Amino acid sequence: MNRPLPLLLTLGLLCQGTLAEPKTIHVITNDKSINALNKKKIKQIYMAGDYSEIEPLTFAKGNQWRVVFNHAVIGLQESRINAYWAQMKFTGRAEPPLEFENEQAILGYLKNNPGCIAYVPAHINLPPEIRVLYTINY
Amino acid sequence: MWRCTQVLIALNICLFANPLHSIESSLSGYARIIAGVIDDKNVSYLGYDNSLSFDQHSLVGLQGQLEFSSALSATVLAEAHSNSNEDSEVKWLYLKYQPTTSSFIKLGQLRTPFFSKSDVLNVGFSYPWISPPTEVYIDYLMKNFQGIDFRYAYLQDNYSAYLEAYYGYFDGEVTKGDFSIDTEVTNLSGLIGELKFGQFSWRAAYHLGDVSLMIADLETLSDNITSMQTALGADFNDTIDSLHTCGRAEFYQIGLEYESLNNFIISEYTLVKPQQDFFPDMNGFYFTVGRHFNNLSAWLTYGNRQDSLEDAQTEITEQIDNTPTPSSQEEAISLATLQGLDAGYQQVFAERQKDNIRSWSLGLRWDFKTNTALKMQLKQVKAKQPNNATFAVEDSNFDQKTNILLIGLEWVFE
Repeated sequence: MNRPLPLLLTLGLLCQGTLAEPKTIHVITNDKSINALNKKKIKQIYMAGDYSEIEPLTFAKGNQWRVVFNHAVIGLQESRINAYWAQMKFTGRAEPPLEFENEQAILGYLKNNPGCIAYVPAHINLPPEIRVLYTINY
Repeated sequence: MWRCTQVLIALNICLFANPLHSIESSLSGYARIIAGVIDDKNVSYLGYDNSLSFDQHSLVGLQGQLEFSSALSATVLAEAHSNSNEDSEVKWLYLKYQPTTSSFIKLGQLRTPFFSKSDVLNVGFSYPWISPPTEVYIDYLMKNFQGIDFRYAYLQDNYSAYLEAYYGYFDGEVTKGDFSIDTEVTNLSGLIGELKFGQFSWRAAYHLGDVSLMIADLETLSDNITSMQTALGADFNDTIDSLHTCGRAEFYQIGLEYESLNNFIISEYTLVKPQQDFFPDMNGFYFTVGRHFNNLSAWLTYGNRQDSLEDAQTEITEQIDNTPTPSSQEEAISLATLQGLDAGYQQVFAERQKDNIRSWSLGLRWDFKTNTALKMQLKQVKAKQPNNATFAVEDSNFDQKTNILLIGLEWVFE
């Protein structure tokens, strides 16, 4: 009878991600030449590195929105994303997306650099020149 | 020739570096500390025996990159190995030119892209195992070459396709266990296609090269048989050909990967076909299936290796059988020499080794930090016949089966 509690706690931890409240993310740009994107295309831009014409921006490792984005759009665990970019980097094939500490840093870079896309939580107020390309509910 | 490549890289840097573009540099690296032990006495597998050791797979790699312009960069990667059979030296030194987002060319000393993971074989952080399945990942194939590599990407909304072609040469030592052979591979070339569709990716590759292995004993034996052929006016040409250590070798590979949020599959099949009779055709296959639990992964791998060897020629044996009983001392000496040569030839062929093994591995990986993972791998390897190349055995009662436990810490940094 001592076993069920630790077991339930473990199960609870494992299910943590799936029982949490839904989160909404906007994929955004300030570049008028970038048209609406679908999820597959966004994933491709984020995983293609140097091969993509569009430069993707992301949050630093450990950021909760990065984890949500990687689960919802890339479809991989954070650990696998890190392993993937280790592979790309040390094969000289591609560099990972530029990383930013917070939403304001991403928006600041985005405003001054055309040809980029980024993602931010939906509750962030966007400047007028920033367009939403795709909305993710996860 | 390697010096020429280095000079070319330096010249390219001078010619193409944009003076208006500030040169950016970056330093990154990886390290792995691997401990291993097997449960049999007087047997060695992957260099491990029944005492815990850290000296086979542990290493540190340091990669420096200089970016001269948005299109041109130079990369150097050096590794320090705990294994005395692995040279601690510069492994990669290349210039990368990316004229468009969809293509690049690399020139210099590069990794030979035989397998899906051969580019990152020493970056253990990038794959789930500690030791990639040795049934496919043949450790004595040359890992680097000097030459040029071109890669082209074709990105569409629903899929990505990549084409890679390379050409170059290898001149160095190939090491298996405690044995090293001077090896030269010219016209080393390959074509690799990759397709990524959804959570799946496929890879197919074809490589070939003209291989020369410097094995003095075989050359001496071949020379002796040639002399005997001339003296007797006999036909031992097939026998002499079977001792050739130079010839073309072909390599085929197909790979499949599937990765989702929770599950993953990795599989590869390889076939190495040397033209020379003396060396085996090597068939390797593995299938890994795994599951992610947040930062913890568990996986199971089945591996199989089935080598096949050509039979020894029988021309000299037939010549002996057809020789009448010597009627003079001279004929007796000639026959005895022929018998000695035949015995030597048959022994050399009988002592050739091949791998016929199957294995099961079970592993865990825990990414306890964003750049650090702890791994465990338990592997059972069983050879299908004695005298295989898999194990180094000092015990004649060995049952051709062993278990190996590997524990490792993988780290990448930048």
